[in-house]
Amino acid sequence: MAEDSRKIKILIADDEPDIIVITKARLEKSGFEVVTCPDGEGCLKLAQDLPDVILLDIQMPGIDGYEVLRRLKNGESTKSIPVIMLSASSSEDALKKTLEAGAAGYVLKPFDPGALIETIRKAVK
Amino acid sequence: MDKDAEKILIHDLRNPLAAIIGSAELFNDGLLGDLTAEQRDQIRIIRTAGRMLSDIISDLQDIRGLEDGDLKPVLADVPVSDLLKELKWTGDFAEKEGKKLEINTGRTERVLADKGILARVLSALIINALKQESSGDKTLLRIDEDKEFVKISIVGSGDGVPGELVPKLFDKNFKTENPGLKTKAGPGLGFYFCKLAVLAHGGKIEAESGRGKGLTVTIHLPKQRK
Repeated sequence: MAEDSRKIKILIADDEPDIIVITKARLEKSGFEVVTCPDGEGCLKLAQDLPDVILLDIQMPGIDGYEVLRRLKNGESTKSIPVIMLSASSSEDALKKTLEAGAAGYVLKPFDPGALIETIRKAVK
Repeated sequence: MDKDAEKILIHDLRNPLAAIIGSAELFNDGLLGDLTAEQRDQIRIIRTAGRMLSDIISDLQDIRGLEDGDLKPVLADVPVSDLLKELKWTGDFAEKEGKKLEINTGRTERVLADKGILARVLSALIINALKQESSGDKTLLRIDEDKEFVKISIVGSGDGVPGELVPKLFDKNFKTENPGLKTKAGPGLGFYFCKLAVLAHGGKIEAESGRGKGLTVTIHLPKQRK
């Protein structure tokens, strides 16, 4: 968990460049530190730097969000990082599957910025 | 369209829409610097239209879920103040259009509902009422209750709907079967979603109107879990 004296560091993994730009801008303006990557491989690599929370898109080329989540939760150093799934699918199956796999939250696109920040703050508490 | 194709379409629409709304909200919230009044108006148009599109996409998805019984409202005691926060954008829409939305919640403080679904139902009804409204009229969101139900009414003041069509307003095919109906907007698939959503809450939805009398839609939501 982040200490009060430093910014909460968020890793965003999403293959949609526009979503990355907008989410990064919103979170940085709200006082978070943000790093980004466009795919699952990049997410697994950057997760080794132990961000405070990861925002993870489900549908990405290569390793998808489900598999990235599974590997993060099986990794000794990464299993305690809260992961919030970002998805354009509101199916109950997707929600159930990610929460059962250990996700700390699930945010549907297009997301409400206030709700996203609230979910992040809850996850890192 | 089959179910799988529909799912892919909905998924593919959400990503660009998230970009449009997210970008408009960065400007709207002043995070990218000061805007002129004209720029603020334009951004508000983009944001409101984006929210409407987002709701239509969610309606399409949830109609399927409600019809199939896969989607069930998750009921909770929702503070009316939280519900009104979710509806704030409809007030922005009214302001942009130079129309009036009045809210009277009476003494009701809480509603037993799925907040997200109920907010979409009310948004659809309010926006429809505002679109029908002429300059100088107003739309009223009124909440009251009796022993068994919380009753939420959207009281419109536009041209209304001919009385013989009122019982069919919430039918799935209402719009396609009444293409000549001369209203500025008219209920579409959104009204059918409203009916399914309210029924899934264990409630009922009613409409009253007549030509020139405006349309009033009232939702009855049970106060106790059934």
